[in-house]
Amino acid sequence: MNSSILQTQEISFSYDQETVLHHITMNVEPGEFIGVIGPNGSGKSTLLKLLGGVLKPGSGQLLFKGKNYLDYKRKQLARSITWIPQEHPMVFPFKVSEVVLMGRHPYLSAFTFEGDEDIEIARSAMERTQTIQFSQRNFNEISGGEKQRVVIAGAITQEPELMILDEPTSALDIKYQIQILNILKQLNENEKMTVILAMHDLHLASKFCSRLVLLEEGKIFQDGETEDVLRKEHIEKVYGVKVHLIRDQDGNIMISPDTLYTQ
Amino acid sequence: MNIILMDQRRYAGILCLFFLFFLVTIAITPLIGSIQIDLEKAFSKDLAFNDNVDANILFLARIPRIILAALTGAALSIAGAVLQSLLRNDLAAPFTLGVSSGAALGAVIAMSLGLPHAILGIPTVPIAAFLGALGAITLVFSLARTRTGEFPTSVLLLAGVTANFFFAALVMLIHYLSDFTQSFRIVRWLMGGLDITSYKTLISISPMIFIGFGILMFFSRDLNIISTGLQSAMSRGVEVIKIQKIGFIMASLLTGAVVALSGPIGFVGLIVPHIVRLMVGPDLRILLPASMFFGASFLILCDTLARIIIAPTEIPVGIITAMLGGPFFVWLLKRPKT
Repeated sequence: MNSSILQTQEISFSYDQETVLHHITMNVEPGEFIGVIGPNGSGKSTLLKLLGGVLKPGSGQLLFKGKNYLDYKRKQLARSITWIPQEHPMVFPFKVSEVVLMGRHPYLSAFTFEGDEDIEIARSAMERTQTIQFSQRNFNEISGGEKQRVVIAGAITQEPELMILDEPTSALDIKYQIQILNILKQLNENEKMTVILAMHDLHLASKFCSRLVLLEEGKIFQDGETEDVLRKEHIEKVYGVKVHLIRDQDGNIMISPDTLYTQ
Repeated sequence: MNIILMDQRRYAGILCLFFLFFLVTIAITPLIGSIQIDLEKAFSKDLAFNDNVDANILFLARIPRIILAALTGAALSIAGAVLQSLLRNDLAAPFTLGVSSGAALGAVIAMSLGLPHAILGIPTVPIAAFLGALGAITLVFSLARTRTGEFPTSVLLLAGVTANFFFAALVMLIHYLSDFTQSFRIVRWLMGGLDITSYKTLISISPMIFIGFGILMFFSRDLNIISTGLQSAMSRGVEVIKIQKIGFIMASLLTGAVVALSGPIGFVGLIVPHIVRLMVGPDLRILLPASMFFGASFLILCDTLARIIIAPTEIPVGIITAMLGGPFFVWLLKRPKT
């Protein structure tokens, strides 16, 4: 028996004529904390959408616990996997608590309202993400970092086993970046939640992720332990810049541009 | 501390208030009009119905007209609220998207073909209007959707304007080719009026409206989540494609049913969901039923105004709603966005 929670077998994806992912094969074990890195346009967002089940692969197979995604009902899949976009445009003035409670959708049938149990789950998710103090505010009126935490609270409310986040920290300042990553780390350590997230900041990636997947032009260039992926030659090849690798006091890798020279 | 103040009891309370407002409206408005009617005489058993002027005015003119106003206002408001959520754009409405024009085209085709009023018990003009509305929605949807599944306001409104002109041209063509009596009927109807109604026609369209409303209520939580983004809705377990189809079909059904009788009455489906959303919030589980009652009351009141404003002449209610709706639309377009 295969223990993987998620397997992709040779998945490819194209928008119209343009192929953005080529034959991606990877396995994800339960409890992993995986960072997907790569330059802009390397296919990170598309890969995460495929893994999150919001896009269908053009070819290849996508398996969750050994069973094809297509064999799950949407609500079934939503109880196990949640995908969080980078931005959260909201047209209508929903309150923060209403946005969080939408995470209970896969557990509710039609014509029903959220019950005490659902509200309790939402409350606990809001406490963990420190969003409870503005639960009655309009989602559109809170800051970017607060929005991101609210959406993560909604995802926790979904009670998934696998959480997939598309650059959850890239629009935030350093304080909020650390805050979001700490929330995810706690979910990962305390509740064995498997986390896959796209990241731009390679230093934060090396600090938080145990495994990195480095994409180059829609293909996996490197996939492995953080130490093995964040090598000088890999970064220089994929990003096209000359860099130094520096270690911070905890031994995490920092990338520093060598000069303004580009290849 | 109760952090979540969104429970069923609160919704039930709000809904009772809206229902009460509706009841008061339908109780008072039949008594208002260019001719003062005497209720005692209207209900008196001493006169034969045909000789009883007060009873005739009340039961044959005013009440059916008020019921039609209620059904029309309710249906257009529900359709507007649903279209706004599905397209994630609060300027969407049956009228602004050209859905009403599509329904009008369907209805005019059915009228000019001289189809029988009903085939196998199904009223033909409302069904033709429904198909016209569905065609218009499909057209606007495919014109305005970007690759990522968004509907930018400018593109959506342009698609709506295009659809409006296109369908209006076809209506004019049919109108031009039709004879004098048909032509008069079409013109009066296109202005949006509520004055040509029998109880029989009212009964024939009611099921379409109640079925549409019931099905939309069934999917109201799905529609809420769709309004926050298509892909995140998928990730929350919403069958997005299915719900979109159902939503568009039901919005067309509601629009078609009432446009077939009252003509393309503009802006109700835009104004009402906005006002009600300000009062009850954006959750469709309360917004839809509240808009139904408020939309019904709103159009009854507009129509009462249309009946008395230059009495004894009655003007088509579509003129009143357009005069209210035009400025309202401009305000929506120009208001500062948060």
